[in-house]
Amino acid sequence: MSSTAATTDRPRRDNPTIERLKSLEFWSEQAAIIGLLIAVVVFSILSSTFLTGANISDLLVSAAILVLLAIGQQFVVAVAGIDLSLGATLPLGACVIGLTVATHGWSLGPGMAAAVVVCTAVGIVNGTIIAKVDVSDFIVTLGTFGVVNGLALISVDGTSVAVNSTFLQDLALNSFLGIRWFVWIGLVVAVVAHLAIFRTRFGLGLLATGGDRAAARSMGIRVDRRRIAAYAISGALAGLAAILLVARTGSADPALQTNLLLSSIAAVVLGGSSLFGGKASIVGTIAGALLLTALINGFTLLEISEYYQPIAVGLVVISAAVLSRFQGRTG
Amino acid sequence: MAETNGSTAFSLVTDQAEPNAAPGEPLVEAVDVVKSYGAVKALRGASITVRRGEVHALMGDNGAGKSTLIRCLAGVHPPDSGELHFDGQPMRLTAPSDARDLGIETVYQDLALVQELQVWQNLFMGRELHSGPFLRRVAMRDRADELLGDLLVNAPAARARVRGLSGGQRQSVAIARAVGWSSALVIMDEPTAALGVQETAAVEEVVERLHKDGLTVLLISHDVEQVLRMAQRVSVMRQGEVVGDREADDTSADDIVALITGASREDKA
Amino acid sequence: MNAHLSRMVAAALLLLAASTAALGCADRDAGGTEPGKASVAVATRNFNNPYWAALRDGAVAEGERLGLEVNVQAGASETDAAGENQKISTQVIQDYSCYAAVPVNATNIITPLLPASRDGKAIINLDTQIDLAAADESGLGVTSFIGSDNVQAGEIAGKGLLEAIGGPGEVLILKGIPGEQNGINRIKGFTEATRGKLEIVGSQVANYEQSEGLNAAEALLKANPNVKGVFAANDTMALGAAQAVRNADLSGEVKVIGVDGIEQALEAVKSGKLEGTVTQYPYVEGQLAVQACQALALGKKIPRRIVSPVALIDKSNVDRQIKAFPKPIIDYKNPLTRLLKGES
Repeated sequence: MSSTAATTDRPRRDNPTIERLKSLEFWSEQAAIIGLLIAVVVFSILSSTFLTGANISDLLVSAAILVLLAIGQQFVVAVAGIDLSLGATLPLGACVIGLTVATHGWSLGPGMAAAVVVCTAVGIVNGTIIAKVDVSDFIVTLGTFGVVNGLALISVDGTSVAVNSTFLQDLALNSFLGIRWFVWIGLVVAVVAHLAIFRTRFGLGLLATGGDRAAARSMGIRVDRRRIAAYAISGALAGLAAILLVARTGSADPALQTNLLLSSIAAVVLGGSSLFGGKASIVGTIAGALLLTALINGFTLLEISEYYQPIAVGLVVISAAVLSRFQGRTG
Repeated sequence: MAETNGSTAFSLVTDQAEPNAAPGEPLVEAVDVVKSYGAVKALRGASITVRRGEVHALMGDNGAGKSTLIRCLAGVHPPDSGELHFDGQPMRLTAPSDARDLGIETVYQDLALVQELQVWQNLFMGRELHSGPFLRRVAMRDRADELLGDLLVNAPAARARVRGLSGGQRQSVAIARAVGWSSALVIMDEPTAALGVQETAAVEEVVERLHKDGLTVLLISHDVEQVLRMAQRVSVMRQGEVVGDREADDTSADDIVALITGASREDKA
Repeated sequence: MNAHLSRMVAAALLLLAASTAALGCADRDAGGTEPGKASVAVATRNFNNPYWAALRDGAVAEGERLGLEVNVQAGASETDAAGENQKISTQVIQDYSCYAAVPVNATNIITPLLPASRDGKAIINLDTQIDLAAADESGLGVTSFIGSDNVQAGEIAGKGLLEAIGGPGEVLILKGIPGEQNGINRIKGFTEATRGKLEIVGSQVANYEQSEGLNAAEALLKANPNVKGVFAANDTMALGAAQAVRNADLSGEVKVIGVDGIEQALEAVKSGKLEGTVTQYPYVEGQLAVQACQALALGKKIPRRIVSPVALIDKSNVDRQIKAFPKPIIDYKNPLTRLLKGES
C-alpha cells in the first residue's frame, strides 16, 4: 500500500515519551498530578510546616476517606455512570456501625462487616435499576440519595451515636511500619483497584462497557452485570470509608453532610477520567483526591479564610474540565 | 505468514479449527427465508448460497433486505420461516454468540470498536487471553502486533488508541478482529462506505489478502465497480428477495444495475 | 492510561515528600511557642452561621488585645464533622499551646485532638458539651468547658414569659432537633421555672427551623384557643411562631419568647413581633477561650467549667443590645479576669 495519507503513524516507532509530552491531551490527563506538584511546591515555599513528615502524614490520613470514595466513584465513572448516592451511603454505613455496635452491643467486627454489606446492597440496588430498567443514573442515584438518607436518620432515630472503640481510635491514630493505618488502607484499595481495572478481564469489560455499551454487548460482554458490579463496588468502598469516618469522628451521625460526594467526582475528573466512560486512572484519581486535600491543608496552614477555599477548589476543577476539552473526542 | 492447509493464517489464537471441506463447496446457505418486523415484510423468501473460499457480494437498493438477511445469518434476528444451513447441516441461531461459535463473524457498519481502548484490547474484547484472574497483556499485545503486521501494510500499533486511528485503520482493525478468531465466514456490512479513495483501496487490499488466504467473505456493498473488482459471485436483492446470482467474470456493471433497479429480473426457484 | 509516565511522576513526588519529611519535626510558620504566651487554635462547625462567626470574631479580637497568636478554623456546615476534624488535625500539627473546639456532635473532636492531648497540650471544650465518658475512655484530657448554661437560659425565658403574661396561663413549647442536649436543657430550665404557674398544653418538635416552627405553632394555636404564650427553644423557631401568631390575628394576645439572640430576633423584639429572646454571647465564648488559654500559659489553674453570660433581651433593652451586638450589654462575673490581671 503506497498510502501516506492522513493516517496516524505507528507510535511505537517514535519515542513515545517525547511524543506524549508534546500533546495537550497528555497534560489534561495528568492535570491532577501536575496540579498536585504545583500545590506542593507553592505550599512548601509559603509554609515551612507543609513538607514536614507530620503534615504529609496528616494530609494523607485526611485524604484517605476521600480516596476510598473517589476510587468507588471511579469504577462507576468507568462504566459511564455517576453515583450521587455516595453522599448518603457514607453516613448510612456509619449509622449501621452505630446501630449494631453502640445500640445493639454487637462486637466491632460484625458491625463493620454489616456496614460494608448494607452499603454494597445500596450499590447493587442502584446498579440493578440503572442497568436493567435503563433509567438515568443521575436520577436513580439522586433518588437513592434521598431514600438512603432517610434510612440513616430512621436507623439511629435522627441523633448521633457515640461509638467508643479503642480499636477504631488506634486505627485512626496509629501507624504500622511508620505509615498510618488509614494510609495503608487507602494504598491497598488503590493497588487492588488498579489491578482490577487494568489487569483483569473484569476491568477490561468495565472499560468497554463504559466506552461503548453497544460495541461491548455485541462483543459478548455482559454489560448489565458490569454496570451493577461497578455500583456495588462503589457502595462497598463507601462502607469501608464509613468505618474510617467512624474511627475519625468517634460517632455515627446520620445528618453528616459533607463535601465528600462532590469532591469524589472532582477527584475523578481531575484524574483525567472521562465522565463519558471508558477511560480510567486510579493514579490520577488518587492524585486528584490528594490535590483537593492538599489545597485545604495548605490553606489551613496559611490561615487563608475558609471562604476562599471552595473558590480555589472550584477553579482547580474547572481548569481540569477546560483542559479535558482538548482530549479531542473525535467520532 | 505460515500457510496451513487452506485455513487462514491470520489468527489471534494458535489452536485454530481446521476446515473440513474443500473450496467451492457451499458453506452457508439460506433457503426461502421470511422475516417480518410487525406489518413490514423485510424478507419474502430470500435464498443465498455462500461458497467456501469465495468473496460473495450482496447488493441491492436501500430497503431491499440486505441488512435483514445478514442479521438472520449473524444470529441477531431469527427468521420467521425458511432454513439456514452451515456446512450442509441445518443451523439454528438464537443469539449472535451461536453464530460466532460456528465461526460466523460480522463486521457491522458501526464497527463495534471502543474508541477509548487500545487496539489490542478491542481485538481481544470478550475473548481475552488470561491466566487466573489476570490478563496476559504481553501475549495479547504481541499477538495483536503480529496479526496486524501480517495483515496490513500500514498497521496501527497494538497499543494505539482506536480514537487516534484513521477510518481505514479502524475498518481494518474491525476486520482483523473478525478474522482473528479462526472464522469460517466474515460478513462485512459496507466496509468502505465511509472511506476516502485511498483508504478504500487499503481495505480492499486487506480483503484481497484474506481471500487469497482462503477466507470466505460475504460483502455488502453499493459500489458495483468495487464488487466486480473484488467478488467472485454477486447476489442482488430487491424487495425482500434475491433476484439474481451472477459469477463476477460472467456479468457486467450494466447487468447488475439492471437487476438492482428491477429493469431485468431473473427469478430463482 | 499513560501509566509509565504517571508512575514516574508519582515516584518523583513521593521521593520529594519522603526526603523533606525526613528533615524532621514541624515548626509553625508564625513562630514557636513562647513561654508565658499562649498560642491558640480554635475550631468550630462553620462560619456561615452568624453565631459561630461571632465566636470567631471574639477570639480574634481577644487575641489582638492580648497580643497572642490565634488561629480559628471551621468545617463547611453544622454537620461537617469530617471537615472540622481535618482542620483540627492540621492545627495539631502546627503545635499550638492550647486547643479550643466546638464539637459537631458529642464525640467528633476527640480523635483528632488526642495527639495534642497526649503531648500535654490544653484542650478546651467550647459551647456544646462533649461526651466526657468517651473522652475519658480514649484518654483525652479536657481542661475546661466554656459555654452558656442552657438550663439557666430556659429559666430566664420562663420567668420572662411568666412576667409578660402577667399571671398563670396556658403555653406552648417548640422543641429543637430530638436528642440535641442544648435544646433539652433549655426546655428543662423553662419547665422548672414555670412549674405550677404556666400550664404547658402543647409541645412539638420543629427542628430549629423557621418554617417548621410556623407550621407547628399554627396547628397548636388552632387546637388550643386559650394559649397566652409560646416558648421556642431557639430564635428561628420563635420567629416562625411569631408569624403564626400574626397569621391567627392574635398579636399582643400571645407572647413569643426564644433563645439565642440572633440579629433577626433582636429586630423582631424591637418591632414587637417577639416578646423577647434570651441571648447568648458566642463572642464572649471566643474571648473566654483565648483568655483561658493565656491563663494556662501563665501557669494558672482555671475552673473546670466557665459559664458565659446569658441575658433576657426585651423591649426595654433591645436598642442597647442591637447597638452593642455581638458584645454583651450586661456585666458578668469573669473568673479569668483575676487570673490575667497585671500579666498582659
